[in-house]
Amino acid sequence: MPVGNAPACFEALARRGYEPRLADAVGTWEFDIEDLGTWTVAVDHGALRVTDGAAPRPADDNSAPITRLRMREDELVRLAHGDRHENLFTGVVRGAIVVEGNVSFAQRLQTLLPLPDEQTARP
Amino acid sequence: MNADTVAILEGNTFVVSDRGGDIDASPAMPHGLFVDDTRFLSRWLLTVDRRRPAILSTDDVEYFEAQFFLAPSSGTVYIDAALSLMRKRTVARGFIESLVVSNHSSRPVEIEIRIQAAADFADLFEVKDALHKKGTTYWRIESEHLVLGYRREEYVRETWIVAPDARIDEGGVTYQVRLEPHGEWSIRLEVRVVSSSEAVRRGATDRLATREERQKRVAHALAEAPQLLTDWPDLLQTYQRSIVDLAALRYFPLLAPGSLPAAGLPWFMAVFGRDSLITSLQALPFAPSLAETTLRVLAARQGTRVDPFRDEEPGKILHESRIGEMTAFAERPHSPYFGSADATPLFLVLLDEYELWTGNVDLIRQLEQPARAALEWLDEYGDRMRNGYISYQRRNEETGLENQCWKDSWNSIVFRDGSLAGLPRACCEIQGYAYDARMRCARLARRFWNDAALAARLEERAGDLKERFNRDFWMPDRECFALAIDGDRRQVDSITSNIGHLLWSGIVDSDKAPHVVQHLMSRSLFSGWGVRTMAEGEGGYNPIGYHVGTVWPHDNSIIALGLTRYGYRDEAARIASGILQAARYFKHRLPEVFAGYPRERTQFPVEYPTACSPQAWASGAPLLFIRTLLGLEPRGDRLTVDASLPPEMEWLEVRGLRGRWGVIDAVGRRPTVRVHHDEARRTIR
Repeated sequence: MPVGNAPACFEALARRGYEPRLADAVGTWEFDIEDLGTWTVAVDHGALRVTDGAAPRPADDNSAPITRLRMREDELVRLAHGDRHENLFTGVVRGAIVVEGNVSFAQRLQTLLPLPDEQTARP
Repeated sequence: MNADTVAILEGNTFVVSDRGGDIDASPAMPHGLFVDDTRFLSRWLLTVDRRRPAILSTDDVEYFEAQFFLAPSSGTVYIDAALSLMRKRTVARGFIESLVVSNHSSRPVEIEIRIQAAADFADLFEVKDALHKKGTTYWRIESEHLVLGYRREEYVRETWIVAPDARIDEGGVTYQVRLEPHGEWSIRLEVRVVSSSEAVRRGATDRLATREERQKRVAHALAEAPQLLTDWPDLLQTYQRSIVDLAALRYFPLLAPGSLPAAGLPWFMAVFGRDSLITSLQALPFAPSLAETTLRVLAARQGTRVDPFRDEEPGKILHESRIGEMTAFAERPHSPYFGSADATPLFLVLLDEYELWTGNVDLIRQLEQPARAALEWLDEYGDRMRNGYISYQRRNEETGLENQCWKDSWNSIVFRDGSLAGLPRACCEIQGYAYDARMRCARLARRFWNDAALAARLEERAGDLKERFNRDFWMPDRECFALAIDGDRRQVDSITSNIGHLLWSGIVDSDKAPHVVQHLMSRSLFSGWGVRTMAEGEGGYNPIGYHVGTVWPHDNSIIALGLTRYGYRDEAARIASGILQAARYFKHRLPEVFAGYPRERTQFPVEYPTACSPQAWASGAPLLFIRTLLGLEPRGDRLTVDASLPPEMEWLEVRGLRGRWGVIDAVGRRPTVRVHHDEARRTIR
């Protein structure tokens, strides 16, 4: 399945299912993709779950971290492929990705990126 | 930084000006207002009636504030004593500048005050390498603001100059001032920075403090640090300077919690794995919180995959992280860059040392997975030549580092005849760090990770490494360890300071240690101030070569600790004394590096032209020397003290050393040594 657009990126992440390098992680990344909508990727000790829509608001300060990321669709695709050495860090510094909420937890997202070749193969 | 410049800093922001407060950047003069690796002001020139005033005096006592006392120049050798100007600058995320003009005469005066302003928005890499910008600059005037801007795609950076009631034009702000007899005029200017990635920096911005809060922070750092008492007044000043500088060099990394020591001003105001690890280790007895943040931040950014551009590998600890334009557009790989072969074992060494001092077991358990990944890196990716030694060869041939050890300039790893070693390169000190890391992690595995099998495996590997190292790196004809083994399996036979690090790691066989010590204290390595990076007489030696003959305070602090480990206390004290005496010539702030000329030839330590100052691990060096002189060593829940002082010092005392033992005072006196545990102050954790 090629990931030329945002839905395909999130489908690829959903297919990932489990990421052992996130076995110690619990939290949520909420993606606000400009003009398209919101997707949520939650990790629970390595198990990944992707849903449409925003993440539920945290009950209190002790809740698992939520990081909100805002970007255009083409930036998401570039991030998914690692095109031109793109990663979360370069996207943020360039101003193409805005990170809010628990900014420290954003760093853990990089563990999933870029998506492995079989998930990002283009037609 | 040289004596003609004044640098003030706060968090990720610093300002470098001349001694009058003017910023006038040129390729030879790296002046500017720098925030997040970007120069937001390259010109900030004050004129009075179109002439730059003369400098009367400069005061930069606070690390975040400077005052400049000026008087209008008359165009001759004389100054116009009827007027004076006081310029006070406080750095925040940008800076605030207050200007007060006083008329000391009994006549009214009319003058034009102007500040010329310009911003080149240069990335630090562009400043260093004199590169040109790819985006476009612009300017606009908004009510009382002059806005200077730069855009390249989404990347936008702006400098806002807020100048109330000024006449504003593209090149600066102007005031027509009338001063009554004995009158005064003042203005408050603000320089603010805006970036398109500002949203993510909000956390850091929120942490900006008022002047009073910052003064409190300095007072707090000094109050929290153990109290030093000695009959050597210079050491007292050096100690205080170190504590304040380490508080000042706090850097808030992007996408990470807390602050950790940046490497140094002006070139290395960034996260450096190696520098932050060594500094945290040096400061452990005095400021243990630095180590915890450093370990957490570096663990959070540990390598997860093979990425040739960034020299990233799974389990590897980063080398350097930057947030300027060239990093943003992947023209440099520092997002982050992993080109360091020693940061990973040093991470493990610090992890263990942190527990030994603090007893904070929670952190050891929380970082078990990153530690295991780092250990796997030592065995797998770190061993490039598949010979059991950690070696390096950059994957990124274009912008990666050729040398990935602490001596990372291109010409540092050379043979005795001066020719370059082949690749990959397995530097000796990194093998020492790897040995030490495995031995220390065996202890952690057994005590805290409930994994006796891992502990046994690590001890076996460490033992095997030590045996092979003492055979393969030893040069019988020179009675010394080789600097490295290269890709052609040749011993790189220069005599260098790296052998001192081997003593610190414990990898040296006891029968070889006396030879190593003899080299370190020989006239060819020991300059009289400290141990040179390379011995005089070697083909690559140069007393003002960055890593091939200069003296580095941090290097010497590690060497002295190593000498102590093998029982060479007098030699350790001699090195500590030499470097600490040198501090006096640098206003008690040890620079990153100074020249390696023999002491008897110059009588004073000669400055290295582009040395960073303050530099975190140079600021940490006096702290480690104090630990070494007092012979402080954590043993279980006790801190043992076994002082050995140099002849210049009769008495050295540290009060209030906090750790797993509670609070302890340590005292050393010459010629006899007294150990004093103040039981009355002891608290139970």
